[in-house]
Amino acid sequence: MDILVQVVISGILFGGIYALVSIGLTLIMGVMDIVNFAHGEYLMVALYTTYFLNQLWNVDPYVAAIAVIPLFFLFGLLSERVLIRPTLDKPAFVHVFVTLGLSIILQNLALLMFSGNFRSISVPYAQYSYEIFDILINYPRLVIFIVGILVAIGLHFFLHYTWVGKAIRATAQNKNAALLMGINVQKVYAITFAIGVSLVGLGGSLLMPIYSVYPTVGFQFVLVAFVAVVMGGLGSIKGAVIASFLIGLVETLSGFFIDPSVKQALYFTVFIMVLLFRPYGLFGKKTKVA
Amino acid sequence: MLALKNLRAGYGDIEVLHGVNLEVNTGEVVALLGANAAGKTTLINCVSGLISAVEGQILFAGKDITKLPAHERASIGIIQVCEGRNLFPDMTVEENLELGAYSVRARRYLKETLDSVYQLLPILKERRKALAGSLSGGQQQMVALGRGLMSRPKILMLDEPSLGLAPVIVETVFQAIKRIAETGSTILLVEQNVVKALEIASRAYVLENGNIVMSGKASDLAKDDGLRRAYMGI
Repeated sequence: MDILVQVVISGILFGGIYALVSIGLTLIMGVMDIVNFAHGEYLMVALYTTYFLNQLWNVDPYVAAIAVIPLFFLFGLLSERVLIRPTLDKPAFVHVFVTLGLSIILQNLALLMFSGNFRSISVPYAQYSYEIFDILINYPRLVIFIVGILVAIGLHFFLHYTWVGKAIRATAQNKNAALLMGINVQKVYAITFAIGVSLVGLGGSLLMPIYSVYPTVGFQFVLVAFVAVVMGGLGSIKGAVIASFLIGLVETLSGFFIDPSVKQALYFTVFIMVLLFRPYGLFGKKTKVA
Repeated sequence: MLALKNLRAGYGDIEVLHGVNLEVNTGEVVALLGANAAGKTTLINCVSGLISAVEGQILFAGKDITKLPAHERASIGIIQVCEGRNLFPDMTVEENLELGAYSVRARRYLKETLDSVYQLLPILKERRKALAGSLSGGQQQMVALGRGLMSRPKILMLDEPSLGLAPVIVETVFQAIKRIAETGSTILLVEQNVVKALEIASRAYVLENGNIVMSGKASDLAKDDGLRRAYMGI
């Protein structure tokens, strides 16, 4: 019994990292109608950034996170300006090529510069755990979980109670009407993309203490994120967060009780089951909401 | 207030407007009449900047705005209430109205404008917590009108406000437009419903295949035999 509770809690806590990756992905998809295939590579770049900040200047990953957020916001603005904006009114497959192309470039740049070796850092608190009723709660995982939840709540308030947030939702729901309200849709796109990228950057920094970085590390996370985004309902932040925790849970449970190699098969089974009964996802509607 | 000079516009290679001249003065209600596909919506979209003019000029308060991007036109007070309502379906009525006041110019007066819109269109106050997408067609049209007013428009362009509404509802919507007009607003009313439009307009233009074929005082046009035969079925 104890072991079950232990595994459930570990799984849910780790879901926080999926939440941070998928929130940005679903936001970009819901608002801009763009599937960002390079999303995992932004995570990879954030992991390397955190890694080198730590190796070269001994910066703590959690301190690095504070620098990574604004840095990745700028990175997001830049990539939106250079790659996304010129292709916005092109057909969807052009977006696929642009973002997939960026993903391949970033992966190979990383391979060229840092080789394919797994790199990790050692921080003393990586193994810290709190013990509550015989359940061990790993400190870095708890941080990931709490930040994931706080980000989701914060983003909800931002989208509902600020002018910029409202403009983002308006653009997602009806782009032409947003233009007619005087909303600068291009600016909204840039900000949306930058927010998505800075959240995945934050995720990278928080992940570094308990994970290794290598050029293709983004893939497995973005795979989960895609499942979470579709399972939660395209554009639904609440859906993506809940689906992320669900996947984290299924993954850990199946990894522990059956075999780590079947975990993907299992969460894909859950995914298909959800889509069978709710084709638009858990919180999806035919229209998109951010 | 608004003047179009020899305006040509279209989609791709297809020209829809072949040199249109039109003028709306401050405080006036001007109707733009015409059948389906005459180019009415193209004209209004061209003024809002959703499509760009190929040739000619759009003057607003004496300034050439032909090249101004759409969102900037909205912020200087050129407000379109578009065909098919175009609401934000997953937002409440009140959120839709607030977004009407998005521009810095209008945002300062948000509270006051909201109160006056609620006074003018009481149904909106009643349904302010409802999601816009859940309302009936007539109520959605009211939200669209209210959202337009929230922008504190210098000129309000209404694109077919009666489209797709039942006759009883059309009556209510036109009552609302009349009340808006009585507050001294400048309105360009695009309509297929010629009888209704001429009732509240002071002047009117008739657009046919992208050309203005007739214009004048609304009361004169209402008596015109050609127009009556072509558009009123009498």
